[in-house]
Amino acid sequence: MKLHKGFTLGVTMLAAALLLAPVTGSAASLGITSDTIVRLYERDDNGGRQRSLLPVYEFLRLDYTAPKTPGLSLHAYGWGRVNLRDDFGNADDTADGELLYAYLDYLDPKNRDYQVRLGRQYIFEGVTRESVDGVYVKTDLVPTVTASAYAGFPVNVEDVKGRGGDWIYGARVAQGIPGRYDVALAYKHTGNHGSTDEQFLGADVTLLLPASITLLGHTTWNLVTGGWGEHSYELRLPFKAFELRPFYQRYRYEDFLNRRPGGSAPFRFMSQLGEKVDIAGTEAFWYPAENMEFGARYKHYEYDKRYGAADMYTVLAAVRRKIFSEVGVEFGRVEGDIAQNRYYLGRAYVYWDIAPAFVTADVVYVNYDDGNVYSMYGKDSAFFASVGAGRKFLDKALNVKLSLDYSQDPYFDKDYRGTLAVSYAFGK
Amino acid sequence: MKKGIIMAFLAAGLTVALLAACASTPAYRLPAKHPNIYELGDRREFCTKCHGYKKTPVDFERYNHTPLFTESHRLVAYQDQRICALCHEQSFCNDCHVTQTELKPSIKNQTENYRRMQHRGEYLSRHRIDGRLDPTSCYRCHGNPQSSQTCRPCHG
Repeated sequence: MKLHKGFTLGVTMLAAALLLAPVTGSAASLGITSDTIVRLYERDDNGGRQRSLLPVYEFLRLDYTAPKTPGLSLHAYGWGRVNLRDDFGNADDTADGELLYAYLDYLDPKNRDYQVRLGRQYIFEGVTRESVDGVYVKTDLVPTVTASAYAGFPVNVEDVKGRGGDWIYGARVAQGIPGRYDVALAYKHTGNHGSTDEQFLGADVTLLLPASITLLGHTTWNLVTGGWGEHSYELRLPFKAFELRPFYQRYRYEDFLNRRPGGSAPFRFMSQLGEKVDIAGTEAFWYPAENMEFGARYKHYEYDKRYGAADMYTVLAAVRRKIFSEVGVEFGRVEGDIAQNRYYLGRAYVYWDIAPAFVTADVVYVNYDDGNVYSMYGKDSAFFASVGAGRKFLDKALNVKLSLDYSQDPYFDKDYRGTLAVSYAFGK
Repeated sequence: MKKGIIMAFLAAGLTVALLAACASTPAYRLPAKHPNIYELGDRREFCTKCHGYKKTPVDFERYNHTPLFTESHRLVAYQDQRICALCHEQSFCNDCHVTQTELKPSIKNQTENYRRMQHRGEYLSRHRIDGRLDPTSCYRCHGNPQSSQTCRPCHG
């Protein structure tokens, strides 16, 4: 079934677009992007069964601008996968796919005062980060006010019982002066098989203070459970080549980790523990030159019931050369209350552009304070390395990338993987 | 309690409308798209390099892609996705924000290591600790019935 919804639909869409292109669209009004990813790896199962896996993925995107109707455009994106050797272990895993979005967009061509979208689309704003089959409207018609609303069927709650009784609707109203401040209220209601699955109220704020200090904040109220789900507030304090970003977050699991049916068991379980967590810390950045950056982050976790406090430290640095080349290092430490919740992380990477080609390398090493637990098979470290290379052809429209990965970790003694990715942008 | 919250919501909405009626700031409209230069949508870039530090009509400093931007962009993204859409197609966001996928973002874009994508390297053993310390960070992307399919084979 997924095959029909995703892969076949995507291939059909490409075929239709290619057929229509010479008739209705010039290269400027029609853009098609194809990403083909071929992965090769061998796996040994627990039972001693060896599997050779060769999944081939196709990610296909279409963007079409109607030349005779200013403001009207069509956008679609989906993926499909077939296995050319063994399947992933389940009978229905031979092929899969998903239509991620396919919508018509109309943006007021005269003043850009309003926008209407119709079809499957992702909505990111206020309390919403959802995939919706429906309609979305946004308007700036009233001075200093931006209002948006949407309604339709939520894609994320679809299950084997189908979509009967599923619905989603919501809105966000913001008032502000761009760049100075804005205050917004948002609402979201999700229904699943006839009953309320989620109902959130949210508020977000941005405020520019003296000395270019900025306050950002976001709060949600769960109307189903009757409690505050999240408070996230952050200050941004720039000072010449430095910037400090202290933040504070508070989550109440019962109100944030929704007990929605169909979700994964750990979230449903944790939402019943009555736990709260306060997270406070800061990010800090230093830019000594335009091509050089240093960053650091400290996070402190304080729990109400279950665990003792925890700390997370990250420091990193990156140097760039001529926009595209970059070399970076990172070091991290997670310090939980017990040894099982502690690890060190180190990473180094390079992306070097030698146009029209590039080479990459990436190494990640993690050392666990205590690997002597059931789920770690007695191992206390994980090592990952990846090298890659690529080259652009046809005036950068065709991009061929190859990467080889190696991993030695608690779950794999020696894991080798190869990935070939071919991207082609028609109409570029 | 529920009715009280909804009434407060409506009252706040009316206040917003009142503020709007009083305001007389000239309207500014974002362009639909940023000019396509230097593979902008695929790079981690600092908007202020070209746009400077002027705060109005858009405070571009707020959208500078710092080395930690992948993990901390949600507060600015929630407020106006049109800013993100200037440089990024929705498909770019779908590398992570997706209903269902089999390829984690760092595998789908294995050679774009400068993007510092979530779960890079071997994450299976690390996620036990990160998930225990902060399940809310997992829930944002894996919380709904479709996207939690990646969790269910082991966790149920």
